[in-house]
Amino acid sequence: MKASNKNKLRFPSRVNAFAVTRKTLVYVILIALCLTFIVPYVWMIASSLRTESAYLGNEFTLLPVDENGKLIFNFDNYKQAFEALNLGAVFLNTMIVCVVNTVANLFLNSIAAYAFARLRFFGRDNIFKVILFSMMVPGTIMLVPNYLICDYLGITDSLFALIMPFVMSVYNIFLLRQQFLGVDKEIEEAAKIEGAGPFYIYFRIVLPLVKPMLIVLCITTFMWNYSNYLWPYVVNSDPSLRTLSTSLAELMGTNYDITVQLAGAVIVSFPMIIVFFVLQKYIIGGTMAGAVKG
Amino acid sequence: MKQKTKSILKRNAIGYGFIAPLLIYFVIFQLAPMLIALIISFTNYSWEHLFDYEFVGFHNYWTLLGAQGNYSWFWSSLKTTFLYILITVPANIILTLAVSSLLNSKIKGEKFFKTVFYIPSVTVGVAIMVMWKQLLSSDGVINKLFGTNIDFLYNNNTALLVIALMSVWGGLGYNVLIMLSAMKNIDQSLYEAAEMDGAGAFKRFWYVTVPGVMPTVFFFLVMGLIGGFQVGEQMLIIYGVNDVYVDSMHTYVYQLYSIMRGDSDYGMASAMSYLLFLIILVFTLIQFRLQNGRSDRKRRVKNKEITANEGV
Amino acid sequence: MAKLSLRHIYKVYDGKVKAVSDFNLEIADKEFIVFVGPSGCGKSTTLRMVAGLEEITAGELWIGDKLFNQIEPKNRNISMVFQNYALFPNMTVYDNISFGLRMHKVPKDEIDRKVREAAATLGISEYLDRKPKALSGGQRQRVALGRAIVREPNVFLFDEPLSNLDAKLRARMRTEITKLHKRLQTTFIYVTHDQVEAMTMGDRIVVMKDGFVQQTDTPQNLYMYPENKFVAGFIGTPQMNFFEVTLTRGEGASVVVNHKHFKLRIPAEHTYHIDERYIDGVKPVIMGVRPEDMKSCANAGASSVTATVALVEQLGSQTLIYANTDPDELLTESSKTAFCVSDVGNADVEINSQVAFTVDTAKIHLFDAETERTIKTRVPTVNLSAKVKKGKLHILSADMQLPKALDCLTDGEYSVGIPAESVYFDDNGRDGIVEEAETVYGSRVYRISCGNSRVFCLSNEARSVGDAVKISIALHKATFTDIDGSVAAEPVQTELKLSGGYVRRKVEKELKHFIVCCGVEAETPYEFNRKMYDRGRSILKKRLSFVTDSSAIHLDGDIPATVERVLDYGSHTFAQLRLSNGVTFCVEAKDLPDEVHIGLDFDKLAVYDTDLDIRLF
Repeated sequence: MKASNKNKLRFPSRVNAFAVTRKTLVYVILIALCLTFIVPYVWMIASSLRTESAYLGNEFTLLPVDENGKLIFNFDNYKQAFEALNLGAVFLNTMIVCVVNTVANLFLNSIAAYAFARLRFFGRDNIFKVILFSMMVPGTIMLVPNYLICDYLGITDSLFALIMPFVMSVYNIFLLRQQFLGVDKEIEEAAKIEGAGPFYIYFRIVLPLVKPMLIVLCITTFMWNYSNYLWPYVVNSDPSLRTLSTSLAELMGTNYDITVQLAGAVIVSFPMIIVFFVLQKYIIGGTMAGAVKG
Repeated sequence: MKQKTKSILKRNAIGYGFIAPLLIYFVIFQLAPMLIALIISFTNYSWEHLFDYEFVGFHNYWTLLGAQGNYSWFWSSLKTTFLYILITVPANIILTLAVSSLLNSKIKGEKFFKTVFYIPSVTVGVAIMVMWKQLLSSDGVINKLFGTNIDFLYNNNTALLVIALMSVWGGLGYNVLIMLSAMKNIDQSLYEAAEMDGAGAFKRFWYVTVPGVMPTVFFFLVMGLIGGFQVGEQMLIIYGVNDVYVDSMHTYVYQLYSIMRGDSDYGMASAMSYLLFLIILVFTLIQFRLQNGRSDRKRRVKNKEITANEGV
Repeated sequence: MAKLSLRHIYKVYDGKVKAVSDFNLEIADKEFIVFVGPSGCGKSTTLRMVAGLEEITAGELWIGDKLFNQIEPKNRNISMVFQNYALFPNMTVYDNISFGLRMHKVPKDEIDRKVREAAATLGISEYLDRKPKALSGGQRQRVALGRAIVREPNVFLFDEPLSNLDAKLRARMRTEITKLHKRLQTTFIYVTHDQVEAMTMGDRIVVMKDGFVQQTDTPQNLYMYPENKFVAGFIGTPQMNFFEVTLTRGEGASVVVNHKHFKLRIPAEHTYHIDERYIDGVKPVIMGVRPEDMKSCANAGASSVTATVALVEQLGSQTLIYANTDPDELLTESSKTAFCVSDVGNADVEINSQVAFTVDTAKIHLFDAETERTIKTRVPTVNLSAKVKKGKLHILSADMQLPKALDCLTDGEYSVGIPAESVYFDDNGRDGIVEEAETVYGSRVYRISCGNSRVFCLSNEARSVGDAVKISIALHKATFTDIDGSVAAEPVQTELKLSGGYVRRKVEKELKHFIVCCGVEAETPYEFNRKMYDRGRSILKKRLSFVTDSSAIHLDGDIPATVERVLDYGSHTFAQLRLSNGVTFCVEAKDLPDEVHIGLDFDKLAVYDTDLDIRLF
């Protein structure tokens, strides 16, 4: 109608006003929510670089500033946190635990998962059911007796106590088994007919096919061991055997400056956050893939 | 022919060879602990009775259930745990559904948002606690922001709520990823069909998205319950063992840690953990019964269809 | 080189679900065999049992002259092409093709030569360095073929290899596989659900359904002589039309097909193979007519069907006409009166018009409505009328002495069922003339007219049409039915069937094994025990039955039997024996004492699991 009144040529509007407002609203909500995730971290980094007095004067700033509002990078906090955490030894401990557990997990879990998915042997499904059932049992139950077992094995005051109970993971076996079940059976059968034995099929044919999942499990196992707090707290009382988590918790309960504590938190948490940003493709993809199967 | 038995033997040998490490691990660190915990839950095994412990029958269990003496907090700790679950589970599900459907509405930067929400999931738990402890302190940033002066973490009215919200915040990224993949798995043509039939955005969400993600919601429900019953680590990190100031955050498992690490009363701690196991088992079974009731009905309908088809 | 033999093969899952039942097949060297059937019919399972990927529950698989049941797949010297190609995604095409050779430790330079040779034959030489992901479906299939041929196996197995390809590529690969077969001169076993693939490729086709073999035959024979309704409907497109009819005798020796909307007359010369018991106007029969055996015609005749046209599809060279004899149900889907006609050229037919279709009555197929088996068999059992009078039997227009064994027959008229194998050439027999001769499954089948009657004779002797011959009937294989339809005399029962179990016990400190059937016991020899033990410990608890033909029974054993009756058929004499548990059977023997002791030949004893209804061996 309007077009007939005015003989102006106009392209039809491609955007619908309602859709635009809706989209804007979505972005506003998401960005607001996003800020609650980013701001605490930015604040933590900023505060960890300030002096204690400046921090107590005005806690609410996203920039590392002193009392007069000038930028300041007080790395002394980090030096103190470094010492308080006993970082050298603690970092080494953590790395040993993480690396050993990750490697052991990948190897041992995957062979067990493959056996449950593909090999045929007596009692396979019943054993798997029993092991799956153990996933139902709350980890809390294991705490006391696992401590006693480690005590009995005489490893409570060594890193073994942090490694042994976690060299395998039933949940990871479950995930890997799902992956193996998803591998096209015909490929294995083709290999079998062509004359390959079970070990060859496993290592050279099947394992390469589930590589993405192995990478994901590698990362998640590493991270889980890295941030595990409760077990190291329960089992190791020797300060020389602390891991990053327990050491940071220790620091939290001391009278060190708050800025030093925050610096400690940054030191402990940022390696993993950086790893996450580097490998986020695998982590996010893997979480989503695991979700589909689970 | 012997060949046959031989090949079966070989097959079994290979199979058990592959799972041998698992069996050893499972017996030592899963099966044995469960049995040991069960046994010592009937003893007075503790720091004082390390060498002269004896069987006390159900004494530990009765003491706890009767909330006798030092254990008068038993029922209130369960109440606190339930309260925590009542906050976290619905909050988790609603928030996750909301955020996921926003992210699923074909917006730009979906990957960015997913990444940001996921950061807490890869942050060391203790570091998160350090951060929030300062942010929530009585003269901390949150108080400044709202012009209040509440010591959130040391106030009986707020402590549990704050910790619950912290865990919802921390788990959001992971949950959103799972919910999103469930949403993306929904057949796109269902949305198109609904749109052709004239369903608006809300109706599409209600009639297509919600039924499609129901299994995931159920998963969150189960996991929320199982995880919720075991909450206590955050409290342990912030307050240490045997806290006496903030009763409102003394969850069941926090008390368990206090007994184990603070009092070193392993018999009592084991009894507590078995009671917890029973509680979780009962709730999980109820949930699965509900779920199975639903899927059974579905299956029956499906079977009927199949037989009907075969009849033709 | 590689002659395959599958004997009584069964596949049972979880001890109850039977996927394959009693599969028997002899595959000659260099033969191209196709297993075809709808999904879930057991064809792939059978193939996988040949490959060794699936265990054989019961039965024997022989390749060459070696039992292959327990041989591992890698030692069977077979190769297999899979539906999804099953290429190793992390290896290059070259590595994929050379995989089997590397596994068998073939020298490097030889591998290289063979791989390049195979790649050249299949036209994939330029892709050798690529990963399978970078190839199209057809190329992947060629790589899979390459992997299969480089090892030069004895047997090639194909598991629906073309079903993931599009129609055009499928047709091309089809001819390529056929060519490959010609070139390699090896045994091929090919599984497909596509009857066109089966018909175009196979030397012989095995049609399967629900785990049972329906028919094994050449493509041509499957098309012309389907043994049951399923095979008839499965082979040929468009599908065969089926009508519910009854049969009656018409003038002369013709047969009239009565459908509720039409009648067809089958002239006498096409009716000899029809089982006469169905020509009674009562028994429901299913008539099958292929669309291509019906033609539209200008005016209705004696052998034509008038129907209303519902749909016409012009395909260029042919026209498909869908019509219905019941205009009320013209387009209803489950109509039992609708049919399809495939007419040559552009038939001028209008929708909704009444059109007459002639039926080629020589090519009509007839099936029992209940069992769905054909009643127009290639080797029929003939029913002749006969008279018994004063010790004489009047049959085939002549009298003969009634054998002593048939003394039980009272005077009167009988209908005698004479299977083709009971008729034999005999210089002292009746005169007859060979009217028809053909080869069925390697044997000759003759139709011989003898007076007013006709009989079929199954023989290995060569005769040709028009020959005058002399024939006799082996009466011990004939069935006598009196006028009321009750059986007066049955063929001689030479099969011994014992139901019971297998036990072991200590006899004088020595472990001995027996088959026990209600009091009848027989100790079993070592070889037999070993076969039984192979079935696992549960064999001792199973209910079993043991079946043997009496020709495998000898008379110097230790199982007591009494001679109940002597059956003297003139040419053959049988003794009917009764075991102590009441089981009776007949052995061909003369002049036996009243009490004998029989023995079983355990090599020829068939053992069945009664509960599962499977033949163990």
